[in-house]
Amino acid sequence: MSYSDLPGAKLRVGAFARGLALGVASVAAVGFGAHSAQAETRGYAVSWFYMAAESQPDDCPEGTNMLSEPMARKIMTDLGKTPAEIEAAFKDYPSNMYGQVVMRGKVNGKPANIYTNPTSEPDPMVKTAKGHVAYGFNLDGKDGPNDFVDPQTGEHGVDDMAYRALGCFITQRASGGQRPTWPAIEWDTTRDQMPAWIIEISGIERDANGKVKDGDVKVGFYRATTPVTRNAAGDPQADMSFTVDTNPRMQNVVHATLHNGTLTTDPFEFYMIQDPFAVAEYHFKQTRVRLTLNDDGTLKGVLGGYQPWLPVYESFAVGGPVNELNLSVDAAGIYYALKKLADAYPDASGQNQYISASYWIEAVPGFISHPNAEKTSMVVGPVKLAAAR
Amino acid sequence: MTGKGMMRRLALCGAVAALCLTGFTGQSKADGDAAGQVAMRRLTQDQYKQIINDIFGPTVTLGGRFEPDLRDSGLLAVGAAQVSVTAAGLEQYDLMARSIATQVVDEKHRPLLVGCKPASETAPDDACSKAFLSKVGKLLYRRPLTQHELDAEVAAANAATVKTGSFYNGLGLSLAGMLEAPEFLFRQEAVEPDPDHAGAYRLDAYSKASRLSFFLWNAAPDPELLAAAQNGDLNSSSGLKKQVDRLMASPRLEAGVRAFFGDMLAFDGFSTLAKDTTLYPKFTSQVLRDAQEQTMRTIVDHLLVQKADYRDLFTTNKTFLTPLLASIYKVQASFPEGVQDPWVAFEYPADVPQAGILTEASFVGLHSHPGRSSATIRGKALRTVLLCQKVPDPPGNVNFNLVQDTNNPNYKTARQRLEAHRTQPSCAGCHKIMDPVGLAMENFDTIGGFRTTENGAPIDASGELDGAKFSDVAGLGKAVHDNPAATACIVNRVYEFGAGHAPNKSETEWVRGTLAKDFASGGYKFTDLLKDVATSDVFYRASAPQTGALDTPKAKLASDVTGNQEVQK
Repeated sequence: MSYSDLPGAKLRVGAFARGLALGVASVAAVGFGAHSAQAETRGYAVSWFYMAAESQPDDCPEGTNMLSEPMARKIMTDLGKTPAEIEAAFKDYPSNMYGQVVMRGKVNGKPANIYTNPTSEPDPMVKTAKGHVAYGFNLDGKDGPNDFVDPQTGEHGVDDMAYRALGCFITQRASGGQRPTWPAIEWDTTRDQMPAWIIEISGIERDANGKVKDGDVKVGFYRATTPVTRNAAGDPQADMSFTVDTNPRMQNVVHATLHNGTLTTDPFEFYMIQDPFAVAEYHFKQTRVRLTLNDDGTLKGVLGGYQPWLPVYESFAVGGPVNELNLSVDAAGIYYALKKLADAYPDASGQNQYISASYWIEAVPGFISHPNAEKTSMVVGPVKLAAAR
Repeated sequence: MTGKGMMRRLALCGAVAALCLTGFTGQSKADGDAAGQVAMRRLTQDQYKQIINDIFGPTVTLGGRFEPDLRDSGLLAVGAAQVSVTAAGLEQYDLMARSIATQVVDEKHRPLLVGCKPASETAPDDACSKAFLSKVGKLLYRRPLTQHELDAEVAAANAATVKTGSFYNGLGLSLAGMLEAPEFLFRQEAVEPDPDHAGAYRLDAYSKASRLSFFLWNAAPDPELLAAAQNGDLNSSSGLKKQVDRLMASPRLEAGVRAFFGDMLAFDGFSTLAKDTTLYPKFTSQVLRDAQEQTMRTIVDHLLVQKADYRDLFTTNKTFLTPLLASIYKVQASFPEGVQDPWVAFEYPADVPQAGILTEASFVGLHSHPGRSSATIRGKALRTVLLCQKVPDPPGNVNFNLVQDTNNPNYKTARQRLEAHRTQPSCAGCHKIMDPVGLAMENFDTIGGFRTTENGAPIDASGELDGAKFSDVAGLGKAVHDNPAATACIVNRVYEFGAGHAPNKSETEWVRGTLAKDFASGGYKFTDLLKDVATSDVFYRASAPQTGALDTPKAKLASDVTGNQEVQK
């Protein structure tokens, strides 16, 4: 329990000295809808956001995709390098290899950058996951042969074709609550620089014992104006104060239902800026989120939705050979897999532009203030996405 | 190092040791109660840094490490009169001196800092050396150099110039020697007969200027104050008052106030403070710095900006926060964007239990164990630091097992553990004066985070301080506010800080009488207290020189030779 939990406590910032002009920020007792004035508003800072995986031993029946070294040997062989040349290149692997794998594509018979032209080589037919266990939501209301069962909720018909496309790369695999290597690295690398993602849940009511009551709440997903700060353990510091960035591209407010301490949102569209190192801009359609309010004050749950598949490819391609040869991923193979397995929102040609995906969200408590409440809109505007190739 | 340099250092080491062994107090035991002591105090780290910054500017950097200061009678300022320089410490002073001197005479700094140009850069130049060394020497020694000192420094510079073939190297070596000299490293106070009181003594004008400047600014006298000492103004009431008013009107007063409270609140303890970051991952080195600064900002704002009642420091709900501190206290605050390490003013609601600086991380965190709070340590700190009361050390055969075991299901809270511990008769006596105070702060964990339970059991923060009972930490703050010992303590500490010693009998009469009463009648305004001390005769009184003591104060100053004029610049 903190100061803000004390009955009637309403902490305020005052400009009492040296002319410091500060905004007013309240913590507790924020009313929402039909709830009483005692309803709470709780703030959180997202500590982790990464593609979810609950990999099964048998979901890659043909084995996982090649590790970096054999993949590099294959690339070199396909490029017509002699065994001697390949061995020479491996003397300082992978540094010696970076430059050679970049231009392995062919456009009009000339070498082409494979990352900016993923179709400049034939589909390498990477292995894709065949299992049926994945976190997420049944986004389309159907239960087809490609769908999954959520191990946490038991929900059938879960749509997560992104896992199917990527789940046989070892750095995308994880189970037992572990974070998959590459998505975790992506987030961990970017969160020090990028403004924090923050979540605000308002309308929480508690019973006489302090237990969260079932009912309606409002959930806001925003970006803050400042990054998270790491604590002595290297994790995001809890209970920091954040101010909402009023950029309308990062205002996502949605109704949710609380049941047994876990909220589930209505479907909504989700927009958020991350960092060009990872997925520069997230956009999910038909988004569903479930979040559990843990007793230690933290928050953890799953976001599922349809996201454009091209930015997912770009998040692998942006690192070029460094990503490929250190993370054991095949960028062009990922391009083809995502494109083939994309399952929603076709363009005029019939090619689906969006792919279902699921992400874990972990968050620590924080304080959130809205500097220009009147400008904070529940309506989000269209986001310019790169045209799909 | 040259042979000459080594010889010079050895001579210095011997000189310092000799000075420290004699104490250079000029005081005989017989008249110790009749007048104020004079002292020879080693510069603190902050004072050393400030002096170098004031004379040579911020672009001259310091290397090396300082010897630890000594706390005596509750203050480092008093301990500074009890310390010497060890051989290892001298090595560090030597490193710093040579580093500073090298920078001062390098091509980048010499046009501004040396000020004059030699006729030849490869040959001695008496005029330029004398101009520079007399000017800088006066600021370093806080008095004009004696003619003998100046001649010796110029001769040393000349000899080093011949040896090195460089005027600036020679000048730098002479400057380095001055930076290692006891006249710089120690604040030597000299006495003279008091013409207004036959048979009595007082600090001489330069010593008076130093005591005043270090008291209010924690820095050496500036040229204007030295001029007031030289022309005798400082020995008149009006001249002294004029200088005190000037010093107190300066922004540099904040540095003096910070130095005093940093000393009184024992902030030097932060240099070795550690917390178990597995249990308290919020505690980082930045939090440690912010915690000290928070209390300093609270004090400076309260006492200097608002000019509010000193006692309200224990009840005020106003403070300053950084983002990290706000997270420690679990409160929400808005911070300006794009500002590195931003600070904002913050006001707690009146009904939130807190007690001004008592519940800031600098107090509850500094006086705690690495992995858990300590009602006993906090209670002792409150009594010794803020009330100037004495708490005996624990006996040597204490069994702490019961207190240290925070996982014992039978004793979930610190109160329960201490109640069990107090059943040992040898412990009960002291704990009953510490624990009822410290337990009131149990709502704050070892890093200052607020909590209402410990191990799931509710925390009872009630207690008692010298007869005043309270139910929570806010009540403790009120009890400290109303306790006469709190104001008596600050009055005493301020005097000790300035004088460098605990007040003797005659000083005590004035401190506890006139000074304390004026402080109370003026509404406990801290700046009034500073001014009363700084303008009083008592503060500058001195006992008769001790027979056999070093006679440096009576050495012939260069200014005396030149008819009370400064040595030619």
